[in-house]
Amino acid sequence: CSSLGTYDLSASTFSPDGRVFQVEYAMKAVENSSTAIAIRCKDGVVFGVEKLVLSKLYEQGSNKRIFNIDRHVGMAVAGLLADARSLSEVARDEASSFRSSYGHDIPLKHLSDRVAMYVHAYTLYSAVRPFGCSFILGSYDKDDGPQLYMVDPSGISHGYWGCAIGKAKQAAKTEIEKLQMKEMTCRELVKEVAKIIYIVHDEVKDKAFELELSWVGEVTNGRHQLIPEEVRQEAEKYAKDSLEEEDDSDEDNM
Amino acid sequence: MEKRSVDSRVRGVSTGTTILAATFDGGVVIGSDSRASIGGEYVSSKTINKVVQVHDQIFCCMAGSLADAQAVTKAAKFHLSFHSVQMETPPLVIAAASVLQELCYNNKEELQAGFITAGWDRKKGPQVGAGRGDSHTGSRDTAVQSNSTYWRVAAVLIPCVPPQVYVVPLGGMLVGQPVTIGGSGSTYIYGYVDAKYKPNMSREECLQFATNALALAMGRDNVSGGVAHLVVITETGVEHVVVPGNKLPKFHNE
Repeated sequence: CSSLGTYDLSASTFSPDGRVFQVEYAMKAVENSSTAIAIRCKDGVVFGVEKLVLSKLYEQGSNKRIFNIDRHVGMAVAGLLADARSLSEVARDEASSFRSSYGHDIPLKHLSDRVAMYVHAYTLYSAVRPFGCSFILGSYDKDDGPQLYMVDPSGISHGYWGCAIGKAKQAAKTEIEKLQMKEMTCRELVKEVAKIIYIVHDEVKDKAFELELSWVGEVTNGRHQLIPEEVRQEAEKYAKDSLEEEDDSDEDNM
Repeated sequence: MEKRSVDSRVRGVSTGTTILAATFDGGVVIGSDSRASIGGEYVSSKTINKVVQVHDQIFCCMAGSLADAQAVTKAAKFHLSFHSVQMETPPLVIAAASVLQELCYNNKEELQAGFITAGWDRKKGPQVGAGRGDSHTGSRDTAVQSNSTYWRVAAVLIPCVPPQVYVVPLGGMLVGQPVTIGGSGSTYIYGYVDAKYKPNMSREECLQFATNALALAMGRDNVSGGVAHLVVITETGVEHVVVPGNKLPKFHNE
């Protein structure tokens, strides 16, 4: 989309066709980031992030893109990482304040609405710029079940069964739609999430990447945690094997 | 801020009172006497209802300064109504108790009010809790009673689904218990409650237990009396029972 004249200089200006360009540019920042996905299944939510490693000198596991917001909520981000970290603190404050006032875990929809409202506030003024990140929130509660919400830089939040953000979100969404997630368990889903990240990762343009995986569900008793080592190894093996199979079948077709 | 006097001369109308709440199998009973007195010398009302509804299935008993208790429950009722609209679901009992707790604790210098909260919610069923807010104990963690023989203020909140009762005494502590008693008259029935309360009673047994307890307390405490107000809260709804003074159970010496 091209900007017209001076309508894209601040978030406090509409364009003649009713767009706020600064917010759209913020979304571009998200599209340039590597992919993050999250899928909700029968008994939990699984997060997967393609974390591009720009230098061999980086310590392994640094610059995490999956955060813990309170014990029962996980957050995966795409876009400007510093903006995302700042929002994770906002989410933590909201969850903590809710618990202090009401004595129980914050319901995910409410948390998502509150953080979305905060993000939206930054799209109203010329003195600040919008947040250049989208994020996916997931939680599990034994009464309300698994929940998944995504918030984008415009401050909109939606509930999802499966959701992808970042550069390969279209390809990831296509893969996600093939799954029957409502009938799957977290253990089954972890392998599929790993596989999708491997599928959408572009070997040519981006070189090395680390796969960040986490889950929250009945299997973790409602706590959001990184996937344990044996499960992760099994998932990555499944992902790599599936890719090889597809490569083989492509060669056959040729 | 001058401290309220510890002796029986409380400025203004006080509910030297007896309040209680008890869980039974499938619900919770919350009840109180109906006497309001000034300085322990004059009965200013014989028919006060100290059982206040703060939400559809959550009730509160007040003890201590009637004005303080009414002001606090009015604020709590508003707060919970707003909260339930925002959450799109009725509040949990623990949330109602926490709201009262914050009000009692943050204003403990000015207030002399304690509450028992009891009710029903879809998560935990029937619950009872106690909370106290006063300037004497000054502690959030201890259940220290004030020096006077009169309870200053108490609120009882009662939730439902496993019946839940929370007590918020004067200092703004919050404790969840299956049965709890409060008010100046409660000192005379600790033995009775300890001996006679059993968990998972039937509705009739629990109502009889509560009526007996109130009658015994009203019989010995000069600042408790009048009628017994009882409210039974279950998953299906709320029922008010009023036992007039002459219909209260009589004991051997009456």
